[in-house]
Amino acid sequence: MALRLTARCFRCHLRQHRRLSQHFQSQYSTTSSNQDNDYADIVISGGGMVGGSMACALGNNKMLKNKRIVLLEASKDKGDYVLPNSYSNRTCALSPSTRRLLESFGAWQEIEALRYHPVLRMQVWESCSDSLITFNNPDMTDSLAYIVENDVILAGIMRALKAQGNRVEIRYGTKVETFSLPGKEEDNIKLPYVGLQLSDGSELRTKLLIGADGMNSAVRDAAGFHTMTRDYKQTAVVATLVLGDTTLNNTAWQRFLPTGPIALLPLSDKLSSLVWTTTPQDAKHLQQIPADSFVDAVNDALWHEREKNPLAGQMLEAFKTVVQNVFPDSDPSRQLPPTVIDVQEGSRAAFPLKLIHSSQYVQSRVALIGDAGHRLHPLAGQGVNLGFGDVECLNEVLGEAVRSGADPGSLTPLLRYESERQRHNVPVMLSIDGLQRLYSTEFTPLVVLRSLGLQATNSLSFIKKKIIEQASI
Amino acid sequence: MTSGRVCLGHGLFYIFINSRILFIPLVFIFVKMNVRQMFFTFGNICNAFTRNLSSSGSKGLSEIERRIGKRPMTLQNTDNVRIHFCQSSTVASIHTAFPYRQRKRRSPDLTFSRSRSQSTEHMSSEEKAKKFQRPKAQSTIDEQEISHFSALSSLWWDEGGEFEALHSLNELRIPLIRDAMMSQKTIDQYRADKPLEGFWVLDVGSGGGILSEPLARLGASVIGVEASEENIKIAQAHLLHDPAIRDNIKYIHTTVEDIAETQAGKFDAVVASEVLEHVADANMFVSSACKLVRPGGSVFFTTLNKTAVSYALGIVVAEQMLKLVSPGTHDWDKFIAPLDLQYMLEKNNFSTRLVHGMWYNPFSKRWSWSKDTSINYALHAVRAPAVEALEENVWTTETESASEPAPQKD
Repeated sequence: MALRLTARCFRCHLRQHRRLSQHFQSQYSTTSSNQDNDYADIVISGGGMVGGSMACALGNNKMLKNKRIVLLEASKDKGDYVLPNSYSNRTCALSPSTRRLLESFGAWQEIEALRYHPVLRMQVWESCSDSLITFNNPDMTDSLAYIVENDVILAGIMRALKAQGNRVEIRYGTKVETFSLPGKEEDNIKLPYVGLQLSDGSELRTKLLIGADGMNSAVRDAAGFHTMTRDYKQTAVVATLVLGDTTLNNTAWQRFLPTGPIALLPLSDKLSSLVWTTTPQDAKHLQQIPADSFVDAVNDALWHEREKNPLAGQMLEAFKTVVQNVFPDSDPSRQLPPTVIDVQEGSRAAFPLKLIHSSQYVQSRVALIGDAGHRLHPLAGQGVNLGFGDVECLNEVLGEAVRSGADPGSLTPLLRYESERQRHNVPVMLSIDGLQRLYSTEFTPLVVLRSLGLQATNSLSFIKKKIIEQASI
Repeated sequence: MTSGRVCLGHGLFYIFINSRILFIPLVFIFVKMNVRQMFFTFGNICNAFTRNLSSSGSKGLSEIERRIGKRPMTLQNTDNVRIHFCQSSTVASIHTAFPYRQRKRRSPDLTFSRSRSQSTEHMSSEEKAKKFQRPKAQSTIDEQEISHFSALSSLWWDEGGEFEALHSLNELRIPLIRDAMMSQKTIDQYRADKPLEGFWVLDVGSGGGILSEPLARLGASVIGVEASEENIKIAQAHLLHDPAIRDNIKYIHTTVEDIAETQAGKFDAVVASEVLEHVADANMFVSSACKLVRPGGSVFFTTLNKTAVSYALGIVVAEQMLKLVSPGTHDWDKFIAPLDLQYMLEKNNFSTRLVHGMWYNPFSKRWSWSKDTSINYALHAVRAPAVEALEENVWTTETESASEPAPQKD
């Protein structure tokens, strides 16, 4: 009797269990018959520099070794990268902290084997006055940054990723067509995970979707993050320049013009990468003019004196004298920028500049990293470094979350990532945006103020040290 | 450089909020006045206030109705209503739970299922029903509590919702349990991703499974015991979504007291997190929980202290002012001081290993460890290894090791 009862109860329970399972399976009417096959723990959308390094970092994370990680990349697999002789016009200035991150999963070693160029010194000055600031580590031993071509960074990361074996599943030529996110439906019990409909027709469910799909992030739009944008109404012209008469090309130069900053980043002993931010009309003109006129325009932008503000000049001289008396050895030698003699064929390109800031980086089961969450003016070369900082932080947070048994997509640990990164990124964005506004004017009081401010900062070595530390964290 | 300023501003704010300077005037008032009397007056005012709110608007309930599509189980607030929670469904779930153990595991706990089925085999269904319908006085379930949480259960897994504080409490209690239990393993047995592998953990008052699921992810085999059937359903429904832990958790609709006799000494750890402050008879609850632990095993409690501060912050501020937890969740009379709990545990042959205070910051919505146990605290106690049990084990492990090459522990 009792046995029969037990058996009946068991059957009842089984039936109920089966019904429930069927119910939940029907929620995801999958094309593939195997239900667990289309299930991933973490999906990274976008296999660029930031997305790729996220995949690398997660794949390298010991805590996540049992998790299935999928990287979705819209472009085709280009095979192994072959280093071309000519330099690419798209470069990044990687900070020492980014180098440490890349080293941690072996991508930096690959980059070193390809090519990179260190920056030992930086000089920033402007066209409206003689004020300038220089940065360098004591004795010029440690690098402030490394100039690496984007292609080389990506190749290094992809090599490191492939060296991990099949730890991370890379799906080339695939992007997400439709997102179904939890919480967007009426009842979040029914849809606890992110459902992705991919362009190759398959479906994927994941506990955590990481959006690393750049400034026009589809993940960000689908998740409905509140986003702030500001069009700078500026265009960045990039090119690869050939320098004359340089001995050691290890200085990054940046001059603020009222139309926008012009920067020369050392690529090799003879070559520098140009990032010239200017008005869209000028940019169009600069792209069209012949090479020798372009070289003249660059040299003029670096050297011309016609925008000098006489009042600011006088005040600055007076200020310098005072500072000289207080800190006798504070005035560093002013170096003259190099002369450009040629521009490489076909290396000129332009892209518009925008400030994008997503007010939140995470919601339940979704996280944004890199340009998907924040994009800023290239004047400090911090954009990609902030993205790599996101990678480092999110990797740490997810490892810690899994160590204490949390679901990688659960909101509590993700919020930790968000607040930590926003505490770092927002001030950087604000100060860069502020600098951009400050230097895009010719209004005399502001010119005077910024000249004195820059000169004062230059004289106070401890502030400079702080800035260098801040930039390298 | 500016980020430093932001941090500093944040830090100052944090110190300001968390400093006990704020509470000194409150404490002063409490000491001056007749504390109990004040509690009752204040509590009555608040109760009347909340009752009025719920009768006029009852927005919360209609929201829940809309979500789960039906009216949640509510119980009349009269003393003569007895809840029939432990009926045949309990028996069914227990019976289905234990064959699973038999099938999945080769642990020393195999006898668990057998002893259970044998013990009920000779009983008829009426006898069983009678057995599980205990007189109310012996029950440690409080009916008001159950109806309250059942109404909320569809919101269990919204991390920004009703149970936000419980979700973030995982950041403290999971490492506490993990580290305490990991220390029992040798270095060869330790796996970084599954530190609790091979342990049987009983989660008392598992609710929607907020604590059970992380423990299972760490490798433990978890039995969740819960008095509300609706919560069991919610927890099971949620569990089905995660194939990685689907087979490691079993939720059972029963009470600790019910399984205390039959499953005595079967668990490596019993966790009663945020439960003790809801039970009607803490003494009985603690001794039942203690019975379930094997000699040398652990119990973990997290609960609220019985102090004036815990009344002011835990009930007045958290429930009625900030609505961090829904009003009516806690009853100060049922709170228990750590020393009382330690005393109860000592009577059950447990020695307390640690008592930590826990602070909840309502602004950052995070918990942190603290020396101060005056509001929330966590307690870990270890059962003394029984001498005769040890001797028995020597014989059994020797005979078992012949048939079973890899015993999990001991």
